[in-house]
Amino acid sequence: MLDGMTLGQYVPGDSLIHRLDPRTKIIASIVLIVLLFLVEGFVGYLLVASGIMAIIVISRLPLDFVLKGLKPLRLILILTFILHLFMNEGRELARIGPLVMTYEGLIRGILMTARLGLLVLATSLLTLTTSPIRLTDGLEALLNPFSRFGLPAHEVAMMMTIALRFIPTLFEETEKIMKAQKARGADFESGKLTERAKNLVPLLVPLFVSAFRRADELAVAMEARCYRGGEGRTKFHQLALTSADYWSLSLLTLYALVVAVFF
Amino acid sequence: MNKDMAIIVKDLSYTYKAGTPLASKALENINLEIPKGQFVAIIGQTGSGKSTFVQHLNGLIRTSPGHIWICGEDIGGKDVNLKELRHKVGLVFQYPEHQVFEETVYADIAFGPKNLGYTGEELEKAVRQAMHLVKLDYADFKDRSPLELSGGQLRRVAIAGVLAMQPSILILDEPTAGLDPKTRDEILEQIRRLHRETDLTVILVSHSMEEVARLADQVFVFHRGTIALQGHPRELFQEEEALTSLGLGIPQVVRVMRRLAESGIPVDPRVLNTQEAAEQIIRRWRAHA
Repeated sequence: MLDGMTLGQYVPGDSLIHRLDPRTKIIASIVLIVLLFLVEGFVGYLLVASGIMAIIVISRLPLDFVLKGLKPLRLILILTFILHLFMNEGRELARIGPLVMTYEGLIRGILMTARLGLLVLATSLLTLTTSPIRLTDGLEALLNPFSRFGLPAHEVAMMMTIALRFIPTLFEETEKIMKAQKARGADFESGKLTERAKNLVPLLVPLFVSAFRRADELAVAMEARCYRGGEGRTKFHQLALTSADYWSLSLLTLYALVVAVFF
Repeated sequence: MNKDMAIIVKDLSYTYKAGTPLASKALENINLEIPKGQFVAIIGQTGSGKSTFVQHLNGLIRTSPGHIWICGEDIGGKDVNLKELRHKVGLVFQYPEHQVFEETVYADIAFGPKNLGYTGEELEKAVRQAMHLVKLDYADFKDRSPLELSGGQLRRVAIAGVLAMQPSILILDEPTAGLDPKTRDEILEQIRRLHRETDLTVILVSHSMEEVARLADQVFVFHRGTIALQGHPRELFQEEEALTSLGLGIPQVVRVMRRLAESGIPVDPRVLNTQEAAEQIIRRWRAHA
C-alpha cells in the first residue's frame, strides 16, 4: 500500500539538477511557487508547466515516476475541481438538483487543480533530486542569517533532518505492524467508516509505542556522542556555489519575471 | 495438486517497488516442496529473501509471478479467502512483542481467534490452550497488562497470539532474536514439543545453525533471493566451504569433528550436537585404551 509513495522520496542520480547546490534548488522552488500564484490564464499555466517539465527532463527522472507523486493527492485534486466547478457564479452549464455547474467554475476548477498539481510537482522535484542531508544543510545555511534575530536555525534544520530521516522508517514500521496484525486476521480494508476507525487501534497503539521508544533511543544516542546543539559545530560537507548555480538561478529568475509580467 | 504436501512453491519471484527506479529483486525462481508435518528451517544472511518468502505463504505478499499451493490449494487467485488462509498458516513475525496492543494478555491473545469468528467457550479454550503451549499460567497471566511483563514473557504472549488461531502450518521468523540463552532454549523446546505432539508443519526462519541442527528435518539455505543449498542438517553441514562462502557457518561441534576426521582420526563428522560427538569420541578413546 505504501510502496507507491514517491512524494518526498530522494532518487539518487547525477544530473545537472542533482549536482546543483541545495540552496539554489530551495530558492528555485520558492521562485516557482511564487510564480504559480502570480500567473493567470491558460497560457501562463502552460508556460509554468513546460518550465517544470523542462526541469524534469534535465533531471533525467522517469516522467511517470514523478507524476506518480500526485497519486496520493488525487482526492484533494478532484475535490478542488468539483468545488470550484459548482461554487462559482456565472453562465450556467448544467444543473444537478440545487447545484449549478458554471462555465466560469469550469475554467477556475481547471486552473486551480493545475496550480495545486504543479505546486506539488515543483516541490517534489526538490526532494526527488536532493538528498535529505543536503536539503537540510541548504535550509540551515539559508536560515542562518536569521539566527541573529533569535531563530534557532540549526535546531530547526536538525529537527527537519530527523523528521525526514524517520519518515521512511515510520512507513516501514506501519507496514510491518499492519502485516503482523493482518496475519492475525485483522482487516484494515473493509467495513463501515466507524468500524474501520476502530480497526486502526491494533495498528496505532504499537506504532506510537515504537515511535516513542525510537525517539528516546535516538536522544540517548545523540547525547552519548556529545550533541550540544549548533554552537561551534563545523561541517564535513561544505556548501559551495558554482557557476552552474548562478547561471541556472539567473535563468530561472529571468524566465519567472517574463512569465509573471506578461501573462 | 498433491495433498500430502503442506506447501508447494513453483517458480516464485518477487521484486520490491517493481517498475520504479528503486526496484530491487528479493526472490528469484524459488521452487520447493514441504511435506505435511515436517520441521523445516530457512536460513540465510540478512537480506537473502527469507522474510519476503515466508510472507508469501499466508498471502501477505501476493504471488507475482509464480504459484504457491497450501495443502493442495492454489493461493494465487483473486478469489482466495485470505482469512481462511491466515487461519491455516500462522505467521509469527520478528520481534512479535512489538505488535502487542491490548490492555490484558487475554485480550491480546484472543485478538486473532476473535477475528476468525471464535466466540464464548471456544475462544476461551483456544486462548487457554495457546497459553499452556507457551508455558504461561492462564490464571496468573490472563488479566495482567502486557506492560508489566518481561521481554521473554511478552514474546510468549505474542507467539501464543498466533497459536491461538490454531494453524496447521506455523511459521516463525527468528523467534529467538534478542532473547537471553535460557528463554531462547525454553521457547525452542516448546516449539519442538508442539511439533512432536501435534501434526503441525513448522517453518523456522533462523540465523543460528545450532538451532537448525537441533530442530529441523530439512534446511533451505537462501542466498540473494534463491535457494543455494538444501538438505538434512546432518548432510548439509558437511558442505562447510559452500556455507562459509555464503556468509554462514556450521555448528562448532561439527567443525571440531570435521577437523578430527581430516587429521586421520576415524570419527564420523556427521553429528548434530555435542552429545553425539562426545559419544563417538568416548567410544574411540575406550577402544584405543
